[in-house]
Amino acid sequence: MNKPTVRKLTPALIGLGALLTYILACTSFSPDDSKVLYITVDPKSGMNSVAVYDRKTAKSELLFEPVTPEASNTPSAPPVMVRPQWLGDGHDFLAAWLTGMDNSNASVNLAVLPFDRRGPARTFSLPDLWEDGPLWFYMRPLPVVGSTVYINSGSNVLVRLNLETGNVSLQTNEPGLVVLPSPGNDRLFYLAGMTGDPTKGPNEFGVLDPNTFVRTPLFQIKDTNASVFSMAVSRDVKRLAYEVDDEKTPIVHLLETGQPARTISLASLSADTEVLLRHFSPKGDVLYGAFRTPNGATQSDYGIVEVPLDGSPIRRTTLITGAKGGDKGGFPSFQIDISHDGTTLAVESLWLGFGDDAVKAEDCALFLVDLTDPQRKVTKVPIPLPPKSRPSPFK
Amino acid sequence: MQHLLFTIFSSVCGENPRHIWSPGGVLLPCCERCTGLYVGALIAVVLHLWLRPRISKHFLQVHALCLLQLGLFAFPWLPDSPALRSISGALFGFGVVSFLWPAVSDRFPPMRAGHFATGAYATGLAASLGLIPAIAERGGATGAFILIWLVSAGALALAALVGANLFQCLHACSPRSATSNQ
Repeated sequence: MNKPTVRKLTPALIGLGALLTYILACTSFSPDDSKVLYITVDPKSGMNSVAVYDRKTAKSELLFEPVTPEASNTPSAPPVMVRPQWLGDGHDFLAAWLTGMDNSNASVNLAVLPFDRRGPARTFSLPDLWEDGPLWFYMRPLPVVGSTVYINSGSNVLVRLNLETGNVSLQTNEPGLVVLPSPGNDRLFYLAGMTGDPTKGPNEFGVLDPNTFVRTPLFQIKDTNASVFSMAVSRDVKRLAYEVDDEKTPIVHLLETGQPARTISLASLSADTEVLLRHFSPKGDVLYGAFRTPNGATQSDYGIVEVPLDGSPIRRTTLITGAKGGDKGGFPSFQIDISHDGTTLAVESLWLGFGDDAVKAEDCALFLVDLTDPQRKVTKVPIPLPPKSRPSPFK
Repeated sequence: MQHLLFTIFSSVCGENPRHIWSPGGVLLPCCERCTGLYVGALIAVVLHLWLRPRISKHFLQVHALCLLQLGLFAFPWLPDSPALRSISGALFGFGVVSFLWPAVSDRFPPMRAGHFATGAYATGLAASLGLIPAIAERGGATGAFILIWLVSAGALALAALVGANLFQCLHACSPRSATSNQ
């Protein structure tokens, strides 16, 4: 190689090397779902706590436990941990819990906690946030975009809390607007038309600009009583699936961009099976949900269903058989989540473990279902049963 | 289309959801820094095609700083924001294009640098630094589509430059080329 060639190649090698280094550094961020946050019960205190399960080492570790010291003359309900969720880069997580549920001083509490790095832990307490009870806190993870969490408060008020500065601002929208998280926590979705009338569901789904609150409608929901609990949106936001409350036979109603609305019957499951649709596969071709099927007069089976949109047979994987508590009060708490790569479903049964009709101790667990395994291999992470004295917030 | 772009860019960008703009609720296919990189690279290519700057040692030294500035963001005590990430990406894009341009400079012979060319180049660089965050933060859905097109075009331009440089490197390292050089 002579000198002119070396001189000409040097910039090329520097440029290519710099670009390669940049790409390697940028792609090093990848949510690998190796660690799963879940709610457990601290066996020492009996309190709801946040734990993390490491799928590589198959070990769990308690991370956070909110405890409210109680004076003996003013007994009050213990804090109820609602949910933990990872924040964007996976180095921090957000925990949400409710206190004062038995009196008028109810408040929602949030904590941003560093997970695998040193950094400040921040806690926030937001009293008197809701009019309609803590429904929205249980329904979905809290919508977080950037460093701001959005909390539905009342029918037309949205609270914006900056998790870095603690700055709170209120946004007044039209009545009946509810914000939802997006699958990647990168934008806001909304449901409009939530008037509070139990016989009327949302009538519009769309994207909400998190800064200007400008609405971009994506789907008009014609059914009058679409269920907000049984609803899923695909990652490319081109499909919206939902069920309609009190429909005799469970049916998936599917809205697709540029396509006529269609339905998928779930009748093959069984007439009395309830389904809560929750997620689409990353490609948007399979719907995942939880199911509950009555097993005798006082017992139920719980598990997950996979509903292919191409008409292939619906697959069900039973996780809990013959759980006590035949009523459906706790079923909305049986909420599945899906890994970023779409290979694993996670669901925990802690909330079915409250009260006298609790599930068996061996059924109180975090379940991880391997969707790549033809037999749907299930990993069970035990959760201690909560003390009998603790009432379930779902009943 | 958006899903396809997201999939394509996922091979070269971590797509950290906390670092992706969604102007008007429309998600960009790559992170803020990569948006800066690809849009910056596109503008740099356009400026190189138009102004044909001579790739001198001094020119490369200045642009080496554009590459090195990215290392500063590894330090956690430095301020970080979406706009800063985008600006650092755009500077890096200008730096990379400058180092990759000699491979194609034979096809686009350089012209002598003058005050106008230098000024125009500097203006283009400064404009791209300010324009990208402005469009992303204030452009709404229209801005999102503009950025998606610019990012896609920038990625294609950069891919073409990378291809030309790889070809040049492989050609120079081939035994036949080595023999002819002797």
